[in-house]
Amino acid sequence: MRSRQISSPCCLGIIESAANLSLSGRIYWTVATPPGDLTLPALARSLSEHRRRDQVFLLPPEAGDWFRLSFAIDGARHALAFQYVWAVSVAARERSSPNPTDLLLWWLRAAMPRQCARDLRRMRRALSAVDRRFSWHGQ
Amino acid sequence: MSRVLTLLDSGTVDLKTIDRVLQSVVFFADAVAVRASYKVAGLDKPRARQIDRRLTDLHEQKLISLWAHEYEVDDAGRVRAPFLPGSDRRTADVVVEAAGLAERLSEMNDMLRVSREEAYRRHPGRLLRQGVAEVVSLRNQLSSLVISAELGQDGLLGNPATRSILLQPSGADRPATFREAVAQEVVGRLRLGPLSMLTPDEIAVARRHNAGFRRLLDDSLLAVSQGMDPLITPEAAAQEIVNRYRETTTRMNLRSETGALAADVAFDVLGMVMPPSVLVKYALNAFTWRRRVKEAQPYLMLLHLERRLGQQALPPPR
Repeated sequence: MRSRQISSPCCLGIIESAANLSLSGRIYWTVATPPGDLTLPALARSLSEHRRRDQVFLLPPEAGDWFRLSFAIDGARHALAFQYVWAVSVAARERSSPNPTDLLLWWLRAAMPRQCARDLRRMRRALSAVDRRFSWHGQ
Repeated sequence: MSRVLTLLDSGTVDLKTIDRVLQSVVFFADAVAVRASYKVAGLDKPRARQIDRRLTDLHEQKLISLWAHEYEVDDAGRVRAPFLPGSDRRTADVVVEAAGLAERLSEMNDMLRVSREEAYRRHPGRLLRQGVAEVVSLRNQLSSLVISAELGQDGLLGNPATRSILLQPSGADRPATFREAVAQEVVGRLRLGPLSMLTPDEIAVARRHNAGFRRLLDDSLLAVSQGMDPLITPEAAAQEIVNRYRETTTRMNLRSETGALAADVAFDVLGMVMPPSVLVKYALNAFTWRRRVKEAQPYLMLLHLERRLGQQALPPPR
């Protein structure tokens, strides 16, 4: 069976990339249950709003299970989910435009260590499945 | 894990750039890529020559590498005259090909298209904090990432010489990455002053002992894996490192009553530059020595830097 675990250096890269995104984009975030039952597009809008108002964006704990991947460093699952919500919030909302997975992988590929190429391929498959599951286009 | 960074907007450099590059190669990076056609900003000629010479030394130490766009260099990789006035023509170590770069930048622009449209659109009832400036900032960061990826590097480093108001809406000189921000804060909190005061040999010693500090930075990153909110920031991470460093050195009696570092024991013994026989001088047995080395290992580089730079801030003995 093919391993779906993301290696430790790559997990650290995901976490670092999330920290850099927070720092450069001035996005405060934490893992906590937000009020209401938020869909992914609603979470993306919430992130944009909280960022504009310098407020802490709440990422629901269950977001860590979106990707059905295992991580050598467990904290990486929420760091990846946070960046996915960010990608949804800045990616195009039209069918012809790049989807959040393309944007996120492009961002991660440029920001992560070169040795993470195989893990990035695993992540592409997992993220594409999330794109299809949430079917966020046009919402 | 090796880590080579690309200096953001490295067409212009100044004294602060040298300091930022040194902070990186001392604290967390193996090398930094700087644009070969850089020019020294806003200084008189002797000081500009001094900065240029320092960068040449760092290049010879392999702490920086030089990169150029294809159009900036001749076939031998030397920077062409229009891009670099003067006779000292630099040679690029890496050249970014125009075709590959154009394709990647075009990809990036596609990705940003709707984000840009969104920024220009009015949102009734919403407070836009920065609007277009956010897009410019994002585009700048992403286009630097494109160049970094083309160079095969592992990340970015902010250049204080070229931080514009659009990139820095608060006007502050903010670092581009988390590691950079923590290192900058640690330097500030320990009042180490500019790292450009270090000699090449002292830089080499610091780099020999920076593995432990890199692990501390990794630990700080793990602490922010559940989110970075106003309570968990690079400033907070740096304060934690400085507190632990001070606790460790105090517990080990490496400081005098005034808080000054007892330089002889602090680095010479723990840095293992002395043979164990000399330990008798400090009344330490081998077991104690090994335990102390283990405890101090993450902080050896800070001990070295505080010994070399911190003392310069102290008043001369009376």
